[in-house]
Amino acid sequence: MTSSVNCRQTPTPAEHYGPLMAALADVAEQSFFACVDPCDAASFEERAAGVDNWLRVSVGFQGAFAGLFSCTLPEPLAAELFDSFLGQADESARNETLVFDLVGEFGNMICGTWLTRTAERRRFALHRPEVRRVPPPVVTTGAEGGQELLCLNDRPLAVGLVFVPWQG
Amino acid sequence: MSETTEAAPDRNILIVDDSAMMRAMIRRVAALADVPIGRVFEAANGAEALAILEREPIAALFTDINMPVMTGTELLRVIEERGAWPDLIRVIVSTDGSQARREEVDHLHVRCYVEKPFRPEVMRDVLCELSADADPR
Repeated sequence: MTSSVNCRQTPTPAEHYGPLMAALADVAEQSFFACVDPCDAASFEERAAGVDNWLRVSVGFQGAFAGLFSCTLPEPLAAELFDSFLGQADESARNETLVFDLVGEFGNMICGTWLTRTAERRRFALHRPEVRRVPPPVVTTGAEGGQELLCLNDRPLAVGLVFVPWQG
Repeated sequence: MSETTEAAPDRNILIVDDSAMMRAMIRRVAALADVPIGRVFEAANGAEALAILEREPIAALFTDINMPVMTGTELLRVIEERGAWPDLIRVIVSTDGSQARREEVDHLHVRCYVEKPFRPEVMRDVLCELSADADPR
């Protein structure tokens, strides 16, 4: 049963998008030598136009609060991140399994960095990242949108964050 | 799981991470670090790592924490309990840098705690430090 106390304890994504975006920018810069920029809906749609293949990584987390982080990115960006991560541009080294692994690790690092900074002294647990192909994202903005839009290396990236009421 | 070349068993390293890409990245940094290392072994979890430790001489262990089958913390506990590898240098490489997690491994003789993401030069510096300890001349 969900009590009113539990409802008060569940944070809102809006409270956490700032720290989450900071974590994403640090992961992008330090491990992928990539640059993050803000992106409005129009710019996102312009950059996403014509990109048919998208991947989404989802990482569940539990601790002081619980929920699901997700990041949706075009496959060409995943390929760029792959090359940057290994410091090589060898297309023959890429295959679907390794690209999915890389995108999973990307999500894992973002979520882990954010929670390390946010959870302070409290322990948290990350679930194994799940990576799958998804249709091109539908752009939604504002409080109801539930996602943040960004540019990473001038390519579109959508970040989602959902909290679930504490079940403890 | 896998390993590569060069004979210098007192400088063999073992990389334990369930992400093949993270293992590949650490391996690549090690190769470019201009530090003498021996063979590089890889394991995808703590259980695989233990199997390698039991059959190969390993000087330094680089382990993630959050892994299926056997976590890095569980691996370090088993290493501690068995007491069979007293000279093994233990390095954690994890996204979880929380104080709670650090305290959990505090008594497990962890030499370094490297938070992901890290710049390649951070891992290079760790390797250099370990190498200097192994060869203090």
